[in-house]
Amino acid sequence: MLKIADRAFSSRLLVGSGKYRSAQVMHDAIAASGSELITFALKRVELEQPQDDLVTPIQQLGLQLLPNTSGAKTAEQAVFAAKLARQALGTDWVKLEIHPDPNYLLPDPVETLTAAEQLVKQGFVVLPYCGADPVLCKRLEEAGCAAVMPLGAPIGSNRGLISRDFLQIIVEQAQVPVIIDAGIGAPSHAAEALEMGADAVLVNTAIATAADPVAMAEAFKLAVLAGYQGRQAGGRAPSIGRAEASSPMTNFLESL
Amino acid sequence: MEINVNGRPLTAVADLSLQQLLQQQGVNGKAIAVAINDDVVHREQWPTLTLQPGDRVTLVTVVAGG
Repeated sequence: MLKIADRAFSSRLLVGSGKYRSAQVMHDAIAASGSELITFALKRVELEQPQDDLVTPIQQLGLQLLPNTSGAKTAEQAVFAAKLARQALGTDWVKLEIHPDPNYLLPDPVETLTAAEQLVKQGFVVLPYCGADPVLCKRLEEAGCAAVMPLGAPIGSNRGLISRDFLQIIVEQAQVPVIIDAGIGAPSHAAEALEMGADAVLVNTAIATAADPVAMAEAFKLAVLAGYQGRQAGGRAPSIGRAEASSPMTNFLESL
Repeated sequence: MEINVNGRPLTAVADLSLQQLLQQQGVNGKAIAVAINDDVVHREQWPTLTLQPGDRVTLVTVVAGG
């Protein structure tokens, strides 16, 4: 089981709800993913326009909603967004994300740590999206964050775990769950994350924009299971510079 | 009185409650949060909170996101 704060999850796959072509496809893909923790964003109400109810079907599945602070450029904005999210969804859980840079959407470490400290003091369960920086992850943990969410690669880039050497250090040192977020573009990337010892991954773009999002959601579910089981079974076999035979090198053929 | 709702000016009757404003604007209250002048207003206070001239009302809802 994956334990975050006071909750236990049987799935180690978190999914985002963005970028789906319809609410129905989103719902079906989330169900197929087996995920129990689903991210949402906030936006201003468009007055005099119909409001879709995205949330009720997810709550009916018994899943935990994880609102994010997307759009926040400063700690102050993120804390405000988290308070609004708590009112809107009735949850203390928040995925803290502060990324002022529009090109790479890289998280601002200073603002993120500042906001995390404030939100923890106000009783939030804080899951911060952050750079793959082992020192920062330790600081976020010390600030009381319930998990850390270092990036594999920039959001939506599908480039996989390009930060893997640093992720490895984070995994080694962390006393809270490590959820690798952002950049995971294929089920094999998710499997690799779990193999290296990450506790979970968060995937959105790669599922939502797949040709068949429901099938891709299931593929990620299986990849996470495979990666986790591989880790539990002893992890990746050691890399060796030359060949080492798997079959017996008997000499019965030499008489021919 | 003049108030501002999500960045748009709005003329409202005096002594309008927040709850009444939401009803007028067709906001059904599901997965909604409200702040007035950047202070989040708890749901229980919506019926009793009376808007003041110049108030900045922020209404947010939940949307899909990663």
